[in-house]
Amino acid sequence: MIGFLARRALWFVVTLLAVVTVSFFLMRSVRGGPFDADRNLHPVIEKNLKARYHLDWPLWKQYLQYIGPLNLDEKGLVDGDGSKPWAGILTGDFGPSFKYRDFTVNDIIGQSLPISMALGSVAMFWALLLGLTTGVLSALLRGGKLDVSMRLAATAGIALPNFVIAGFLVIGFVFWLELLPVAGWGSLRHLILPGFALGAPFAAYISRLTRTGMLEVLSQEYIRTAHAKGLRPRTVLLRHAIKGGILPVVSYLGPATAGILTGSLVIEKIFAIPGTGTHFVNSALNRDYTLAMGVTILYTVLVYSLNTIVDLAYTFLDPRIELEEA
Amino acid sequence: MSLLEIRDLGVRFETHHGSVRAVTELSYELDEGETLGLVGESGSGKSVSSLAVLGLIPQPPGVVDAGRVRFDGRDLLALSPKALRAIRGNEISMIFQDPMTSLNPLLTVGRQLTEVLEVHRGVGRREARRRCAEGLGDVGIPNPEARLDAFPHELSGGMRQRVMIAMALLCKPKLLFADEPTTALDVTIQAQILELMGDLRERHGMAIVLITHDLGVVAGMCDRVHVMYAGRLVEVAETRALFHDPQHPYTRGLLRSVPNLKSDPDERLASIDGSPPDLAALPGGCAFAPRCELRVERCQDSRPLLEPVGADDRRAACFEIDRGTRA
Amino acid sequence: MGERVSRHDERWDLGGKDLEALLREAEAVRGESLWNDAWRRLKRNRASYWSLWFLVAVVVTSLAAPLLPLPSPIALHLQEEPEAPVPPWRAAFDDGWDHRIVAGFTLVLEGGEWTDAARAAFEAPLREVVERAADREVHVRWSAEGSEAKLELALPHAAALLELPLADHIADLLTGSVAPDGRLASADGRTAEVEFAGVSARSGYWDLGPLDRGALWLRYQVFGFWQTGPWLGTDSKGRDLMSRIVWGSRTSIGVALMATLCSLVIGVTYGALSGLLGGRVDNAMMRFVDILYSIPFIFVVIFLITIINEYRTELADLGIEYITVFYVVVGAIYWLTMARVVRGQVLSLKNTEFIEAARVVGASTRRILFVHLVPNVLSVVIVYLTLTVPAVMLFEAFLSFLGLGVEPPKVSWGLLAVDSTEAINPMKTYWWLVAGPAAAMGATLLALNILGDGLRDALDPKLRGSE
Repeated sequence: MIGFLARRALWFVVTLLAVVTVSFFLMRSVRGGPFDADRNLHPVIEKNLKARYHLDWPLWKQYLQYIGPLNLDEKGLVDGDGSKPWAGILTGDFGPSFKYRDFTVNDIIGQSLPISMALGSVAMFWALLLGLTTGVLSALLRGGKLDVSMRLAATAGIALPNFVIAGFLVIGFVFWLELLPVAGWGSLRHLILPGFALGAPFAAYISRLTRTGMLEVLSQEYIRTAHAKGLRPRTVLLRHAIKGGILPVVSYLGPATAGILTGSLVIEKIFAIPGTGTHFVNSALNRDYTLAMGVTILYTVLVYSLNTIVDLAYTFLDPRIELEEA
Repeated sequence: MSLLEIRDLGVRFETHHGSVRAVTELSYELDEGETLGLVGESGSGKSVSSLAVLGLIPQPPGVVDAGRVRFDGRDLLALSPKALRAIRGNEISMIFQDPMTSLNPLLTVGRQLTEVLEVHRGVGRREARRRCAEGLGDVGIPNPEARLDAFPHELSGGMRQRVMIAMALLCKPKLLFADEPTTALDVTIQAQILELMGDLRERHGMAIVLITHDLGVVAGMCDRVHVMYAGRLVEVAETRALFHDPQHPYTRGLLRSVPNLKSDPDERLASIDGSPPDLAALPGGCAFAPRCELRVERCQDSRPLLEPVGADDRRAACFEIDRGTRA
Repeated sequence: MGERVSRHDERWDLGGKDLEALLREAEAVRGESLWNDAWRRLKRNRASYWSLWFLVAVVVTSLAAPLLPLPSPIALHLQEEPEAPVPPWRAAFDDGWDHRIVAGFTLVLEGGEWTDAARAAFEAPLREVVERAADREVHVRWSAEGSEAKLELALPHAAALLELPLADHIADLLTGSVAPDGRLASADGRTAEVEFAGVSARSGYWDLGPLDRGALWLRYQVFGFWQTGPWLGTDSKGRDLMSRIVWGSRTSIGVALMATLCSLVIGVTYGALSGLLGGRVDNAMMRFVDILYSIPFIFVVIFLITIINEYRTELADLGIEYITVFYVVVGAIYWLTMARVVRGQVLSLKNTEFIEAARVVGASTRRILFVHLVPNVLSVVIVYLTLTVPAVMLFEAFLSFLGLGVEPPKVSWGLLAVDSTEAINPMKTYWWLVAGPAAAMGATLLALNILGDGLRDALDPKLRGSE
């Protein structure tokens, strides 16, 4: 197990390094700097700004500075509000935001991440709740009307883009029924609708996976043995069938999380939620390098760790699987 | 009174192609402590009839549409699901062919054992574990306490089957259905398992319905043999009598096709002409007629009934046998 | 044991039949090829079968878009708010102004408001000029408010996009010649400021290729300038929704197909190579895929697209359109799964017994590859294709929503979805803006998913021969 985790960590570092390096050089080598959008900067001011952010250094030096932990600035570089030297990401410091000049990337992420996490969790909650229950019901009532309609709803959930679903939801719940607030952020109530819109396609997919998994399990011989032992149908379902039936869902959780992160970009925009996703899109468009990189690294870390956790969980759930060679 | 009495049991399946009759007019009796061999090819109805007794046929698409099953004075087909559940695994147990797929791979062996006692005997976990370990020991599994925490895939085929047997016997059932218990095992393991079953039968005094297509197994274990073909009984006899002098042409064909160590190596292997019948399209008359060497025209028009042959309690369903006289 | 005497073995007798007869008997029992079997099973699955034909209909409609008498999908009409759908039987006849060559003028009357007489006085000379230049009569549209008026003169039977030279010629003639000093005097002494607003000939469509122009010509022959009314409503810029949905399908489907094709080519090659080569090379190649997989690709795409946006002019000089790069970028995202799937299939096939059997019989490697491997891999690829296309479509919609995908004036379903979100406001819900595109996109993606599922079931070798 230690070996497994160690190998995973190693590959993670390799991946991350590759991502950081490639995106760093890509962004820097593309023409158009972060200050282009600002109108009519006096050349002196522009020069000072560039110096402040080390944009006049040679690329390799900028790269090393970014990675850290060495501080290559002899003059004692300041970042953000001018208090601390910029230490590089190896120390967890993502540097100053090029666009929002009074804030560091850490500040921005720190503010927005919890919101995005909350949104993502609500989405995942919806996805699992809806997906698992409809999937199990669908399998049990196989062929019945409820099964068919649930399957249709599931396929629709996968087929429609989440912003379209969001649109319908807003029309339905905000304007028609006037149950929920339309946008913004402030309480859990604000997250119900966006969470649902974000989670809907995943709920649909989970529903399908669960249904297929359950159907396969229910046709296994050991289910017959369980009945032959005189167990109640409910016990057979909950103790014998469910475990096997939801295994495919567990391994789907990895890609699902990545998908929720992706989908959040759009949902945050529609519902005006100040999460990390919005910042990312804006940062790419504003060429705010440090912020863009920071968010990318963050999300890569998240997805990677979640995938690892999922793989570990899978081995706990299914005793037949052994932790493979990474 | 017999322990188990089946009268005119009928089971059919509704499929896209129409109705398929899996079992028709099946009747037999079993006394306490008796071992009955139920023999036939796949599709003969032997497994389906046993599943029907325990109510394990999935009701769509299956339908038990005829007959009565009396167990210990109660009609099983008329029982409420709750009452039936109380009998399953408790008074009547069943073990299946492939222990790898018949045991839940995600639960420990121990859990699958203890739940039987928890349900039927109301025992707590600790006590259940103790008894289960005992049960595992009874079937010849070494180090039973440790085995309780193992998963099925960690055990060998023979051990898994022993576990299944232990599981079936935990509540000391009066009747055991054993559906091809040794077919999935190696020959040497087969012998061990059969021996084990014989031992346990002595100790518990339980009745066994042994379902198999392997005549060698029947010869070693059973008191009586019932031969089924296309969902019906075609011959009924005591084991010795059946092997010594089979009456029905199908039985004869079966016995002839078993290779014999003493036969001439140059001799062709005997087999029964033709192939098993399509249950969805059974011919009128005797179902075996298309493959039968004794066939006459009568056989295609009407069906022979299971009627006594000779003096002892033998019956066979064929027009062409000499009844009343013994060679 | 004595020596065994070999003797005539009657087991090998054919029982009186001759070889020919036996062979004929054998041939009569035909095995079924994988494709026939799959097709039959697919047909059996009603939902998938209908989905297939629905998709065919969608593709045919989208290809035939220029042939259909639809309003222009991109011509702007300033209006207050989106127009609600008008069912076909109530729609008014629309004389298709957007498709014509139109010379526009704005006139400001000095000293008074426009009356019919005044109008007649000024309209005539302008008409005459245009009619002389075009050598045909023109149709007139006049709208006046106070002292300002708008005059539009359209050439009949001249479809805008198809007669650009004529449009340019008229434009040249009119520029500077109508009222050189910007003033026009009428016969009865009034004067008006005239401004030549230009000849519009390109506002109906974006640049279309020769095939599409040919189709347009055919359409005008058959339907004239008649076009359907706002059967599904319009958006806030006056653009007909139905037309936008149909024309948008071209872009969306085109992107989806091209990008999927890209991912197909890359993925299949990579996966097949990895699987065939096996061993360390295979491990390394798959390791690379794993690394790429763990990066949330949306970020990569956004990065790439933002960068590509920078170099757009250079690319255009090379003749590469933005949309082409877009295909490649999107395709480059989706090849990963394809590669994995193909590699898995190749690996499992490599070691199957039938491959070995073929080798034993002496089949050459090429034969093995094409006759045995490819068809089996193909079935898996087909299934994944039908499941990738909807994913790509969604992705395009997604990117367009963020402003990184297809751009106006072109239309795509993604852009329509973007418009639809603007329809949601507390005042009044323009539900048709959401319903139309959502229904179109949803139905198509639904059909693709159902078809994909059906194909997967139909091509599953384990179910072969079953009903």
